[in-house]
Amino acid sequence: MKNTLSKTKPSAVRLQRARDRRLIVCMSLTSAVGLCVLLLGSFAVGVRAEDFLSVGLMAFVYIACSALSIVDLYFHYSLCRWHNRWHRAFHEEGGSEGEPSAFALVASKISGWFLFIFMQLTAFVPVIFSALLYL
Amino acid sequence: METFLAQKRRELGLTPAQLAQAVGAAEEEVARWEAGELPDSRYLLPLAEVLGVEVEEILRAATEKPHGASSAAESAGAAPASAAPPEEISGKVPAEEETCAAVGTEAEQRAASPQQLRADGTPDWLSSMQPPDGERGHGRPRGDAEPDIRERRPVKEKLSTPVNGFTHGERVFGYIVCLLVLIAAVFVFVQRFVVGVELDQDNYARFLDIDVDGWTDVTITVTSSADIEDFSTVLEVEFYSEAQWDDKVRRTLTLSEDFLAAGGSVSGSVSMSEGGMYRFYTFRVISVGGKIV
Repeated sequence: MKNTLSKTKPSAVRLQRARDRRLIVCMSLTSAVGLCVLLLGSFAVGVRAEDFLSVGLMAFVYIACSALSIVDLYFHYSLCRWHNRWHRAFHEEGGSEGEPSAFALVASKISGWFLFIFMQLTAFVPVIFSALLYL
Repeated sequence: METFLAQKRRELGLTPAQLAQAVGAAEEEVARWEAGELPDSRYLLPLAEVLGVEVEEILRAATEKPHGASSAAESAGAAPASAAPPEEISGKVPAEEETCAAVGTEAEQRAASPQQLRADGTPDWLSSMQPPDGERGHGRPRGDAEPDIRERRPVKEKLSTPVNGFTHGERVFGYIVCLLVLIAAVFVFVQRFVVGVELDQDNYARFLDIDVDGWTDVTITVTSSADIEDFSTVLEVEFYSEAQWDDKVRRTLTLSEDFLAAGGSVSGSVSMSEGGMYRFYTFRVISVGGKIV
């Protein structure tokens, strides 16, 4: 079904979207702060040259997974629909319009939150390890 | 240009909030329906009942977007000829046709009669649809004493709403998570930049490189990989006699610097050349102090 929401934008929907945007900005800022903590924990306590590669890899994984989790949390419905449509295109001859099931929507939400929280905890791992090992 | 649902709601004198309350949905969902989105299947029957239309009309209006004036006028009546269900459907369920016609007649009467509003702003006829206590569910208008039906929706149902974005509970949860992470980050930053890290025997090897040069005149250079304030260290250098292995001589060397920058070094020397036959054997760090900033 064609989405005409963007054309009309009733005030309630606009308010909802503004709130969503605020949360996304907050989550993005939190992820940025988490990245700083990750790098601080890795470098400031005396990382040697041979550790740069592992720290860079860890930072890359952190940025990628945090961004993925935020995108998944906000666009969970669209992503589930795309997934269903792609699945139908490649594996089914007929089928539905791609409307995701309630289970898929809930699962994507839970996995998104799990990934986001997990990555925030990961950011503190170098600090905790450094504190345990060297301080 | 007004959608079918918005037009019907306006004809009945209902606000979006009242309609949302009557069908047990959120007001935002009503706004989306009126913007052209197809209502979820669980709301179709309550919507049709409250608005006095057929489910098929709602479905048809949603699929025939944008909804023009002709379509609205067509749907204002009860089950007009053009809005009749397809032949194959209506032929199979004749009993439903009668029901739909009855609902349509009721809707006509409602539209024709002036709106009697109650104290809370809802039309009078809405209260007549109130089911007996204990039998209220989705799509049933509720009394004022009953808690909001949206609050009774399980979490799974809220999360599975087919719309992008966050629910209210998610937003609260998200802000709590972000707040906890930021508090932990502030703690780490304060610990690192305000309190600092004290250099001691356990962690100095992570920040300091110690090089030894020479056999009898020994020069020891300490290079730092971090900024250290009030750096000081005491080293014990041990020499052995070339004549007798067991004969060891120890000398202490103290190195200090007010501020040792990252990459900077401080050095000192210990000489045993006057002894003649002593050579460098090893050294150990007796004490080390300073604050990493």
